[in-house]
Amino acid sequence: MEHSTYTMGIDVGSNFIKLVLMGYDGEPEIMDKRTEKIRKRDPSALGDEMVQSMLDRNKLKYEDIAYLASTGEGDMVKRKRGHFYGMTPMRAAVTSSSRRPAP
Amino acid sequence: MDLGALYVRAVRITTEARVEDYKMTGQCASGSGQFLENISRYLGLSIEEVGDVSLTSTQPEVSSGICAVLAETDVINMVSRGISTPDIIKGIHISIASRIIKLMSSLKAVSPIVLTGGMALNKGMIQAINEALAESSKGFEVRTHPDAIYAGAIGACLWGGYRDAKLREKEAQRAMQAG
Repeated sequence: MEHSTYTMGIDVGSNFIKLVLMGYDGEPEIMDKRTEKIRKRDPSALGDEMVQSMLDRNKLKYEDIAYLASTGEGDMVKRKRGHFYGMTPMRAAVTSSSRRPAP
Repeated sequence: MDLGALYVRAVRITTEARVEDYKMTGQCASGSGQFLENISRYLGLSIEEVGDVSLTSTQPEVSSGICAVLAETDVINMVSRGISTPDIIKGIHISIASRIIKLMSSLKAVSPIVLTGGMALNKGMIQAINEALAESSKGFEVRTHPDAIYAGAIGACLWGGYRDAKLREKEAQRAMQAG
């Protein structure tokens, strides 16, 4: 089903990367989701590959995603397009304002 | 409460979803999913199996629970003493559950408690938490969801949608002012 707006959320944890794709037409709907164990791989490259593979699977392009937000250790996610945003983990919440890029 | 690989994080929110307080476990790994995974590997189990194995325990053997290194030594001793794998695994779950309950208490948690993160999919963990709550006479309802591991990513998605809407509003306002 096609939606007017899409967002992606990527949660980079210590063991797993979790990725969710949502579509919006009023109420948000989870369109796709995937987890991947990091093992000894580079989390940044793995996150990027997961994003691309989910886009391909849903016949979407980067340009179709209104916002890709990261959380956890999501600072590692490559910000290729300017819509990327890092939500720092809670342990760094006190200093988070200085680390967040301007939207 | 988010039961992650390295940390357990607890957030208390109001019915209007306003964050009132949050806390997380310290540096010690003995209350974490990674610790459980390490012990499982040592016992020849996959992390997906430990929940069901824990449910078959009849006489759980609880480890020290103070430190991951000491607990791992405890487990080695248990194996050499012939303690069964389900009883060792249940003991580890009980130890982790007690840390989770302490975190709930220090945050002055109120019912219901929602568990997210990878460990929230572990039936043995949920059972140990429910048993510990029953013992401490806390009448908390514990909830989880098959998509519990995605909670952070779902939150990021929704937050991204909110930010996008706000940015669009700002752009529309700027366009109106310029026009």
